[in-house]
Amino acid sequence: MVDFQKLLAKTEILAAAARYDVSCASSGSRRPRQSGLGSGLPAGVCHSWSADGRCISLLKLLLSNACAYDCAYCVNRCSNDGPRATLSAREVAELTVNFYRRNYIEGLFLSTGVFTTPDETMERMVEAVRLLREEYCFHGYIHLKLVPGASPLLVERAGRLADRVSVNIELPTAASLQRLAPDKDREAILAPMRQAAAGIAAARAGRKGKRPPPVFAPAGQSTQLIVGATPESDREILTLSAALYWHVQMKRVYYSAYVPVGAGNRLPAPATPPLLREHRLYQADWLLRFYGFRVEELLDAERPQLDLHLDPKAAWALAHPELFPVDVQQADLHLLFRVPGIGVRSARRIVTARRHGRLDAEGLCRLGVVLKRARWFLTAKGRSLGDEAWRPERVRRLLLEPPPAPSTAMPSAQLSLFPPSSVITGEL
Amino acid sequence: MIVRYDGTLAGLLTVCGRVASGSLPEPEGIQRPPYPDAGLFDAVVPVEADSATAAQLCARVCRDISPRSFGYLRQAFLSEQPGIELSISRYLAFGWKVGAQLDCHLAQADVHAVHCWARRTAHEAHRLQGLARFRETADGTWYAPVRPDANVVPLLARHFARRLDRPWLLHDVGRGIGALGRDGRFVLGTLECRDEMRWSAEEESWQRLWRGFHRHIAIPERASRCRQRRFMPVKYWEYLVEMG
Repeated sequence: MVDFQKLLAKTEILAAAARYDVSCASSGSRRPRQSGLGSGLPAGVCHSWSADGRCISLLKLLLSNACAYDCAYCVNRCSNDGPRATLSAREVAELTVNFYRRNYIEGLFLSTGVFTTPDETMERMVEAVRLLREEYCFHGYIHLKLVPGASPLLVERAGRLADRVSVNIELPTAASLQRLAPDKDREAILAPMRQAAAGIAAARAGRKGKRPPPVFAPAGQSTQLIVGATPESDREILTLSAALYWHVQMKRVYYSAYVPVGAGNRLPAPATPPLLREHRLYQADWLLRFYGFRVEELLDAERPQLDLHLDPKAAWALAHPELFPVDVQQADLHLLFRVPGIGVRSARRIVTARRHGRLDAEGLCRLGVVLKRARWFLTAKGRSLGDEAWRPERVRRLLLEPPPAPSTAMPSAQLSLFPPSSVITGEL
Repeated sequence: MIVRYDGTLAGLLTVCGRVASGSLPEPEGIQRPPYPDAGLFDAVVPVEADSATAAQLCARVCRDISPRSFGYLRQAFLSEQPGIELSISRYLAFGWKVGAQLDCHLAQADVHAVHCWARRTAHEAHRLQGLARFRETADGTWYAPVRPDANVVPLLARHFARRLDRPWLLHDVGRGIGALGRDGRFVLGTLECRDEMRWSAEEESWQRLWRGFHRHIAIPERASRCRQRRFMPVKYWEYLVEMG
């Protein structure tokens, strides 16, 4: 019988301690189907959204928020006051399977404070996941944090049990790490990361063979960088991300706008977290991974920060007026990727659809192109979709204009003509 | 000419099959129950569902166009959007002309309409894969009520059959249909719950735990109710444990 009172108190403390970890993806895992509870879904599923608008797909918990380290940016640092709690492996397993059966979650995200030595802490984490996989026969998604400095043997076991493993870099440079997290050592962070990358690559390579090796973190590994706590520029951050994507085949790098946590902090406290900067970094990150951009194209030594007012692709396009406007009928796929307002999907759809007829503005809309932005950069049927002459300065001004305020001329009574659901969701 | 069918996929496929074989002219409207009043000069032709014709058409679509097109057609049909039948009928008429290339004509109006509504259905099904909430009843069946816009229970049932290890019941409250599953299999049928549900002893406590988790996982400094609503529209809150 579960002691619900105690479990509720612990869950609340440990969820609040885990919430600064951004990662919530449950996608990308192909695990062989087994009998028992749960299955992976490569597309991933979001199960809820919290009051800050972030998706909840995994039961995000710390095993314990007691921590021996004193990292200035972390809510669980030993010098921070606050309630501490520790879950047993069985409590973690009970919470996971009961939430999973009710379809509240897609799986478990387990992290922890380093309450004893890294090895002992990691061993407790691995034991909790083993119990869940082997005794509870749970085959849902598990994201397991690797503790910096944990032994290779434990990292290996973690990779065999989890769908995704991760170790957070948090601060982009060794100097910042030294200053804000004196107990952590950059090499201790990178070693498990390299080992996981090698394990993932080995398991992938053997997958198609006659006797496939046991799975190792089939959904890959991820990491997280804090934005705004230290003076690093966007260029330094994105260069690091690009290196992680190409050299350790990182699946995702998450960016977390710094939120000051707890009193008596050694860090300056910004009035609000730099959410817009975080958003621009994600946009640039997408351009690196899916659109064929390189960091040097987006940022250089003279301009080390992303433009906060303009999305990075539009900023790049306006800095290269000689390439535009492009013709939708002729431009090759990789150039279409670079047109603001055209995504990977709509670019591919354009290439498919234009074989069967000439595209015009209406057709482009049907393909999912955001003409509001794309029209200034495109010609169709020999005519520009925006102005007659291509004037980058004017386009910049138009793109920076705030969207027109919703018309107040329409009497509110007219809204009742639509079904109530469409008024709420804005869907037609 | 206005065609009336019984509102089932087999019925619509029968209509399309008759049109394709030439025994029925290209319709100007296709209506499902409840039928609207016919216009004064409308010629109304009722068509009865015929499973043999429907199966034949299904095979023909898969052979002469592509199995993927049949998938789009079915998902668009499940959207139950008014007028979707006529789009489907024209989509097929265009498909007989262009064959396997049908789904590449992305800018053609009927192809776009069918793809668009198929995507909406698939999107809602994907959303509810996350937003359906099961509750443990006193007799040990796990019950999840939903009220979707599109008829997504047939799409959801497969998903839950694959992952749940207890008997479960998924109920589309608005349409009065449901899926009952156990041991990886399921059946679809009409469903009506007459009695008040009785929950297991622990159900309320697990719900309280989930609400507590849900409250504490949000970062107060980033609070944004409007973002939350954008992703999780109020129409789904009715059966959401954490939003009730």
